[in-house]
This record gives sequence, C-alpha cells and structure tokens, in this order.
Amino acid sequence: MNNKEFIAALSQTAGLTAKETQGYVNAFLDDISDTLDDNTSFNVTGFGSLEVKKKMERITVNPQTKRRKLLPPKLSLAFKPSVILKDKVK
Amino acid sequence: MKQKLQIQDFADRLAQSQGISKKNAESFLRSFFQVLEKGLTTDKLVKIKGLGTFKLVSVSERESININTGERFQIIGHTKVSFTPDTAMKEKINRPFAHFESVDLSDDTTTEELDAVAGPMEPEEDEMGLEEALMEAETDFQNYAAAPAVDAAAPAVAAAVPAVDTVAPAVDAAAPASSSAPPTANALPEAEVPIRLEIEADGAPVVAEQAATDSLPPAPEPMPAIDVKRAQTAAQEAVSVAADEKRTVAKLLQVGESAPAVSPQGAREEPVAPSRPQMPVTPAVTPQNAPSPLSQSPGTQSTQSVEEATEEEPCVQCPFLGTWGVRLFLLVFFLLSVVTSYMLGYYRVLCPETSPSAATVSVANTAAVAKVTATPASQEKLSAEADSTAAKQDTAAVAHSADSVAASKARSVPMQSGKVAPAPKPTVQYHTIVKGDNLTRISRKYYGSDKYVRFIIKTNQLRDADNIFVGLKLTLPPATPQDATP
Repeated sequence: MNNKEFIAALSQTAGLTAKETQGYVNAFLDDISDTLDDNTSFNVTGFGSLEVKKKMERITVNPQTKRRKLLPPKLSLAFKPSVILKDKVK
Repeated sequence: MKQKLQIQDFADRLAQSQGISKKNAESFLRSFFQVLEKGLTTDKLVKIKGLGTFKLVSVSERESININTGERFQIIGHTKVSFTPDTAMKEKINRPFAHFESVDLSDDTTTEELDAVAGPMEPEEDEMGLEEALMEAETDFQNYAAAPAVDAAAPAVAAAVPAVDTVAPAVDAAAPASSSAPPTANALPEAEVPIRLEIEADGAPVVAEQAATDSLPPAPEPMPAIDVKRAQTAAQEAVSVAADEKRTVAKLLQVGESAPAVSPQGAREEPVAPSRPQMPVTPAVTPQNAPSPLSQSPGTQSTQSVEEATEEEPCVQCPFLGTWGVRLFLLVFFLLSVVTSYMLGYYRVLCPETSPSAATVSVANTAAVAKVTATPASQEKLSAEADSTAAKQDTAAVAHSADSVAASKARSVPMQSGKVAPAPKPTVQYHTIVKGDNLTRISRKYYGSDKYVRFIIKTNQLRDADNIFVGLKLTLPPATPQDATP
C-alpha cells in the first residue's frame, strides 16, 4: 500500500477529501518529529510505540576501497510493535 | 525523564493547529492507525510519505538454546513488523546531531571532528611506536640530568636509533671504559682509546652526539667537537714532541706515566690533564728545563687536586653526572691520546715512505707549537689554533702525519668526522705502487683513513682492487669526507 492508497483509504474512513487528509497527516507527522526526542516516546495502544534511539559512532569499512570511515553518532526512530499487533500478524 | 505520549496529546495539538475539534482530531488519528494496521495485514507493506515504511517480514524457523537450561529448542517461523523511517523523518529526528560528519580514517587516532556530545568510544589505533620510543628516550635522558641537549638529542636519538645499534657495542665498551678511566688511570688501556675515538670521531655527527649524550648526557653539543679537536691537538703536539727531541719526549713520557702514579687515583686525573698541554709546549721552548717544569706541574697541581678530589668524589661514582665527569673523561682521553700518538710516531708505525718529510714535519710543527705557546692554555683555544694551523698547512705531510697519528689512535678502525676532517689536499697527488703496497695503506696515507679505498678504486677506474701491480701510477685527487665509504 503506497502513500496514495493509504491517504485514499484514510480519507474515506474519516470522511474528508484526500487533500485534507494529506494536510492533516503532514501536520501530524511534523508534530511527531518535533515532539519526539531522546527522552520522549509515542505509544499507540494496540499498535506499538515510536521512540528515538541514540546510535553510537562506529567505524565502517568500505569493502571495495578498504578505506575506513568513522560514522558519527546519531538519533534514529524506532518502532516497537505491541503484543497485540504481533499476534495479529502472526 | 522518559515521557510517554499518547494519541490524545497529539490530537490536541492537531486540533489546535488545524482548526478542527479535538474529537475530530482524535478520531482522525485513531483511524490513521487503523488504516495502517489494516493495510499492513492486507498488503504486508504500508508506505507513508514523511514517516516511513511498515513491512511484514517473515522469519524462518531457527534453532536456539535456552539460556538458563542450555537445552536447544526451536524458534518457530513467524512474522515480524518492521519499520524503516524515510529520509525526511530521519533528518528531522537527527536534528540535534545534524552537524556531525563522517570522518575518513587514514592513520588518525584523534576524533577532533566529533563533538563531545558523542560517547567516547573511539578505538584508538596503535601507531604510537615512534612517539612512544621518543618519549621513553626523553625520560631516560632526563633521568641522567636536565640538560638543554636533551631536546636536541631526542630527535637525534630517534634518527640515530639504527645507527646506534651498530655503535652500541662500541658505546658499551666505551661506557665502562669512561667510567673506569678515572679509577684505573694507571692502567691506561690503549684498547679503549681507539674505540672511544671511533665513537667520538664517527662520520655522522648525530651518532657522535648520541654517543656523547649517552655516556655524557649533560655535555652540551660542542663538547664532542672540542673533545675530538683536543684529541687532534694532542696528536699534533705529540707529533711535534716526538719529532723534536727524543730526550724531552722521553721525559714527557716519563712524566705522563708518572703523573697518574703521582696523583692519587680518581679525581686527580683532571688537574693532571690540564697540565698536559703545557708539557709539550714547555719542552719545545726549554728543553733543558724540561724535567723541572714537568716535575713542578704535577706538584703545583697537586694542591688543586686535593680540593678537586672532594668535589669529584660523587662524580666518580656516577661518572655521567655533571660537567666534572665530562671534563675528567675528556682529559683522560687527551692524556691517552698523547701517549698513544707519541708511541706510534716514535715507532713510525704508519707511512714508512714519508721519512724524508720528517724534517718538514718537525719544522711545520714547531711553528704550530710556537703559535700554541702564544695562546693561553685553555683547551678550546688550543683546538681552534690547531685547526687553523692545520688548515694553513699546505704541506701534505703535516696534515697527513696528523691524520696518520689520528688514524693510528683508532688503529685499524678508521676515524672520520665532519668536525675533524683532515685538511683537504689542494692538489692532486700521484703514487706509484711499489712492492708491498696496498690500497688500504695508500688510502690511509693520502686521505688519513682507509675509508677512501673505494674512492681510490673509482677515481682510478681499477677493475680489480687486488690486481694492482708494481709501477702502477695512482691518481689521488683531493677528497672530501663525503667520498669516504662510511
């Protein structure tokens, strides 16, 4: 299901135009990215939780050039599915 | 602390920003996730722009071990929900760390480019070999004494490390030699002198520094130069004495040998040695009075020696501490070189062909000696004079005899030093081979060292160095120490 399908399905469920739903979705996602940080996680019951995880820096090797590179630390978004969801998809 | 947000929180904000009722916003968000879930179960993949991709990934069955019991069990195949954030979301989330950049590692051990925010988990590479060695070398030097030469010596040490290996055995021989020199002044072991000279007068000044700093750490850099120059001076003066009058020389020898006997062991060497330069001078001027001044000098010095003995006591035990130890060593060295050079000059160990030049040698050297008398008996000035006189001498014989004497000290070991270069012969010389000649001797004779053999071979284009025949005329142009084979 790509984005278009998703928006279409959502707009149908919510009773809104596609444009509107897209707008709301964008606003919602911006809100998420602004709010979520190292100490904050977003939990949706029955679905799962979105949290920010800190990744330490690491050395990688380019297998072709054999050159080593040091990647800096970063924050990344992780999703943890809830038990209910996991059962549903099993 | 960890904050857990709910749909409600986001719904409130959404309602506010979008101008819809809170109820509407909340229901909207609920349906958002419902659709998401449905799409996931139906299509196994849901991609939301601005958020990421949710996928259902099937995991095959695998064997695993119960951690507690250790027994094996099967993890059944199942499906897991995976989420991959898309680029926009990634960047937004990573905003606090956005300024970091990846660093190419090439032999760097530092992480200056990364902020201190990151955890300090850089694996350091082990490229510390040379630096560590330098540090250790420096601390070792500092153990001896704080000296300005340390900083100069440290890089010199690093550079001379390979050279040191070759000189190490010689240095080791010299170190005990120098330390034992004060106590065993009477013995005057000749073997130690050539080795010590070899080190001091080695081609690379770095190595000389190294040797000097090793055995005499506080010695400032000019010291080895002075040391060798002094040796050269001693050589020249000894030669002058030898060529001059054997009687006075014999007396010199007597005094030279008796002086250590007269003066008590250890510290007294130093006061005796300063009298050494005076001795060759005085006999030349007053041969008749030779015995008296010579006998007097130790006597006059003896009072000094008493005072100095106490000062030097600690230095004898730790001979490499303080300039007294250095001076003592150098003076003993000077003493030994005087004696050795006399012996070799007297017995004409080297250069049998130059017997007719003995007269010129004596004439030239009396001039050198006369000049020396004019200067005060400070050894540095003596060496300077000796060098200038040596430079002025045009006759090959003088320089060459000085060289030969200097070379004789090293016996078969060549003596080459940038600081004590034999006066370059300004003109080309020729030598016709006679029976019993060999290139080593010729090299020594004309260049003062048998390190020029290869040079001779090259300039004369000799095919086979062993196949020189009687009557072969060799061309011996002026050579610089660079031409020598190290």
